[in-house]
Amino acid sequence: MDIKIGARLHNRFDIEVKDILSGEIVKRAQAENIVLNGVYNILASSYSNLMANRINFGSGSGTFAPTRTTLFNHSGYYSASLVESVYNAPPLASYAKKKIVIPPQDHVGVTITEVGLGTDGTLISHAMLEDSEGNPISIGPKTDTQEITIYATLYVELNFPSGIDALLHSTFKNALVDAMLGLTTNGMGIAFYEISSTNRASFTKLYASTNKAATVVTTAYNSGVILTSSHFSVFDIPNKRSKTNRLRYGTSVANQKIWSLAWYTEYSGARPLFRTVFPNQFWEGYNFVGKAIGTGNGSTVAFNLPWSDINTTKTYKIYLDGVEKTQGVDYTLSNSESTTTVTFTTAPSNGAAITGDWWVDYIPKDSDHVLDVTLTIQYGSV
Amino acid sequence: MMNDIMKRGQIECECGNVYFVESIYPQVICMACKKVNDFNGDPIPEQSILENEVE
Repeated sequence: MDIKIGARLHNRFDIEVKDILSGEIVKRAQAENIVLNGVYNILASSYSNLMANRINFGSGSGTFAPTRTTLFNHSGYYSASLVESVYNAPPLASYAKKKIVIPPQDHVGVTITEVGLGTDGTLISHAMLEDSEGNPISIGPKTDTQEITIYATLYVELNFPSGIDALLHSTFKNALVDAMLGLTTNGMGIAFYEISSTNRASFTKLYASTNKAATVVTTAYNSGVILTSSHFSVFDIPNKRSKTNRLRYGTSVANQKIWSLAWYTEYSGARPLFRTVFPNQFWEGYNFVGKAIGTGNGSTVAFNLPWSDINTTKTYKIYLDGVEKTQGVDYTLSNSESTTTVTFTTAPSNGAAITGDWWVDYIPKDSDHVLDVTLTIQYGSV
Repeated sequence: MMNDIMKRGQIECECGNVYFVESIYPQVICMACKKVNDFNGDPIPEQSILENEVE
């Protein structure tokens, strides 16, 4: 099972020039970014928490290219403060709005034509100033009675296939969105990697729900068990993606009904990512065919199916020594989450083989099977 | 000066969207239905919406 998640960034800038003598906003501008390749050097690497807290401004012009690492003519930068963060349940975008204020006494004489958002070492976006009609404009030359505020709003959009839910928790939010917005206070996001040796093994945990009624949307994790843990270790910067190790549920692990799988990071508390609840396109259910149920002894009439909670909307059949029996005539069937029982009208004879065909919606994981799961984050696409 | 005191909350919009906000503004737009809500999830009348208020 290979789950692929798309994740895209977008960055908008809004600029205001205030005359401090009158208190009036005397000019406004805006800018829409192009995202630079530098962002993927961070996101699709082992250090993927995008702490983009530096708003740069410059006075240059030229031809945009995602390969650029600097503004055309860099004038300065300030560390931004958070104005607003909003986490929406995907596919709605979440965003973080940050700002810098260039005070009247600083950068007097500068003209601003371009802006960019960056981390301490990497420029991740680049944009040219425009007016509200989309025409190129510049701000300046700045005077010592002007205060310039630059807002940078970073949007994150996630896209995931049908059958996948993005988890959003009231406290822990969503670890991927948190990391891309650079809002985590834990110093790491989806890196799951190399923060400390003691935590290294627990960065990505994959939980399996054993209870189909349980949901994991608003709880850190449900009644499931930790099946295995790993971390993102396949970093593919040219293709803008990172991928987990293959997580294998071995023959001795998690032999149970698996109704759903959920991914969490495990750093200062379980921080949710995604889940999948079966049946869906990744697991449409399982069809037992000729599955042994029991052996008659001439007196017992009721036999439990080895895997309960069958899907009765799909065809199911019961056989005695390979001969199909008729429900309502030869047997009745009771079906519940915990127990599914076939009760014969007449006790099967001694040694008679009782078998059946039926569907279940969950993964009936047993010691004869392994289950492999990978999770891929594809940046730059939704 | 702008009031930079952060407010935090879980906003349940009339449209059913639930979102989590940390903001210096007293109201936040719902990205699902574009209504502007206060931190109780109550819609704000249009005439009282503050737009990036600067004093």
